[in-house]
Amino acid sequence: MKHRDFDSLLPAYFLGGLTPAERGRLERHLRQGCAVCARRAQGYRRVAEGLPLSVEPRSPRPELKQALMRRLGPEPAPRRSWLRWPVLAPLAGALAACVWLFLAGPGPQAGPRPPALNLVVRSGGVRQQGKLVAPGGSLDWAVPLETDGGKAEIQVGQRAVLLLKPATGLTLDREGDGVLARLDRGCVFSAVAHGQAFGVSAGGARVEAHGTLFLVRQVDPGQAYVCICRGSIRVTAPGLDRVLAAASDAQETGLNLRLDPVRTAAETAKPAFYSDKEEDGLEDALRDLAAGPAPGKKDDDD
Amino acid sequence: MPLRDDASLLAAVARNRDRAAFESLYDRHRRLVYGLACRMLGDGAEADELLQLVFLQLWERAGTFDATRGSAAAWLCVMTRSRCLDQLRRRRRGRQREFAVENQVLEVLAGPAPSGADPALGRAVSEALTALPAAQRSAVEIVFFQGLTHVEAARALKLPVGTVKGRLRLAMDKLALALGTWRSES
Repeated sequence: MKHRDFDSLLPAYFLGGLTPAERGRLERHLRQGCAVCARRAQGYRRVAEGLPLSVEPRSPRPELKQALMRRLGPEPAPRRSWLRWPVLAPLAGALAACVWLFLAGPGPQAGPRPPALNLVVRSGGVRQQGKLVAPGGSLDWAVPLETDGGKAEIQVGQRAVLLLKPATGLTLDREGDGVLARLDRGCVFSAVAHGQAFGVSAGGARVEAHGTLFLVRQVDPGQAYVCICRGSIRVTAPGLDRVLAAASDAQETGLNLRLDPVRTAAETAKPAFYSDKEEDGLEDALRDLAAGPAPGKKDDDD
Repeated sequence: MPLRDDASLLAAVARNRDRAAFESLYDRHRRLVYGLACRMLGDGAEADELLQLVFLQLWERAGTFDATRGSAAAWLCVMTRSRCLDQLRRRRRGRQREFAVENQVLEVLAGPAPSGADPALGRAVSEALTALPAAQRSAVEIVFFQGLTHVEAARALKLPVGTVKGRLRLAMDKLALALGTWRSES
């Protein structure tokens, strides 16, 4: 592209009106230090900052404030209030019990330190070692699991929510601080909180999330189907190492990328196993992850 | 007692979960957020819900606010617009676009944001927008407030893409000039 082409993209860029592919090309150009574009950009940037401020302010209904304050959760208890005497007595008892357990050595529940992240079934049913785990139940790390007939959702701490399509089997493992889903068969749709290390391996490929919403399907043992909806992912396989941003590779139809170990190709048709409704549901899950644990619920992520 | 500035209120929310500070921020910026939400989504339940979601996000993310990058009002506007665009996207179910672009846009040319009184900037842009020819103004508004790409905007306006790009260019040049961020020879 010539400089003139980039220059013509600048106004739409600052209005948020470029496709991801155009945006990527322009940003590369800007990062190369084009002085002319940088100068124009300063003016456009100021306009973009001012546009939302130019809207006429409106007063919301007063009751919305009360509703909002309720949604903040309960007021925290004053610090150190637990030191009051009535609380100290049971605490002393608990402390004594802990000391006893320590002196008595490991009990029947002792073992390796449990993982810092909880795996919990959010909806549907999941089988692990032949046992059905219902919504609200916990799953084990590094043990293969499979859906029980229909779809199921699994929450991985405050990091991710996985939507498993029917007939999906996978194993969730820890990799250092990260999480890797090894997809044996079927299809998993993942919503990953921004900045969390999370990956899916399938069909000889590996997909790493960079804060994103994406789908991976095991097509056959040597092939996976990858679909990026939001954010970006890194896909690695023998002979392949690419970072894909949502829609960046095929512009208008770039959501659906078919991947095999040696090549990628844009696919124009929406696959049958892709559901808008599911994507919307996972968008909500992403928001929940970003907002942190529900009030009163302890975050199990270290 | 002197009014606390936004940055110190946000710091109090981040560090101490200070509800009084949060309420002050809400009282100070609710009309801005709600006005933008109504502008992009229309009146009604969606704008009501969006207002609350933006302030819940502020409650959770107050610690990420960086005063060197811009004002709290601008930060709230970015959050509001981003959420509105998501909502519009849901309405259209056009998944081909990645809408959460404004954070990236504002970060690409990193560096301190130009400081300035936000209400004055808003008024200046509003006046400059009003002075634009209607065709240029509508091109800017459909892209910025409705979250369409220039290609989608061309389709919506039944115009060639080049025409829309030209209108955006003319409009943005005039707006930037009106704000005094360029000299006229640029």
